[in-house]
Amino acid sequence: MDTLTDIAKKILSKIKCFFWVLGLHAFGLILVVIFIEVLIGGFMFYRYVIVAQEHIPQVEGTIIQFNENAYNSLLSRLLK
Amino acid sequence: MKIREIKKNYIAIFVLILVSLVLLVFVVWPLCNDIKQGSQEMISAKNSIATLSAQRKETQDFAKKYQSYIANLQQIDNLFIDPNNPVSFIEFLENTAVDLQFVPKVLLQSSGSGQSASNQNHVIFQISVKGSFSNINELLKNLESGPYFIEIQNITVQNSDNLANKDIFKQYASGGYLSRQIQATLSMKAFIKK
Repeated sequence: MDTLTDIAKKILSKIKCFFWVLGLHAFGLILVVIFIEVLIGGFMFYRYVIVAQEHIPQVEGTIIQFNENAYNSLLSRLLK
Repeated sequence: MKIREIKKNYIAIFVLILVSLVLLVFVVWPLCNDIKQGSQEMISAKNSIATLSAQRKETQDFAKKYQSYIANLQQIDNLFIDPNNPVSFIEFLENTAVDLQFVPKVLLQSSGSGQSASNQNHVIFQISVKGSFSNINELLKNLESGPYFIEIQNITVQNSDNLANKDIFKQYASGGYLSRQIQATLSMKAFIKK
């Protein structure tokens, strides 16, 4: 039966091994990281630049406009 | 010697992680937020431009038609009473009632106070008249077709000739109820100029 210290040592050695493998394939790792960065950059460019530029402008709030219906109803009241 | 190299490695890893965290928190994160904010500002600016151009178009359309509206607008304006000086409206109420042989009494009801009063588009008038029942309809017609924009809300009619019940029935049977003396109270909304 392994003690807690033995388990910790095993995990630590696996982590060391993982980083060792990464270090052995440093060039490939850099390429992968660059690829991920390009993906993230592309996503951000699309999300915050292209979508914003393509956004169809919408009228916000209320526009003050002449109420033709009220005018006509008042006019008909006036002409009675 | 070997232990010293291991320590050096740990320090290098620690420094690297620290530098990465600092870059992430103080450079990458604010940059992302700025990009996000800039994008939202651009969308909001586009919406503002759209709103302003719609408003401009509406104003230009109105300006084109304004000459044809102006004469009627002035007449329409006269339909609304001046809340600060409602004398002409009160005179109109009194004259209309007097023309139909009523004895009028006009009251201007309080229209609340503070902001609610300033937001109101009308004032409430009450007119009490004493006279013949047959003229009530005529009075209503004349008030509604008068030169002011009003809305009658409530009418209360009660007899004022103190007849006994059996005499009233006699009057109804003979059709004489039309000439009965009554007291009527009318509440009306009079729309005001802003």
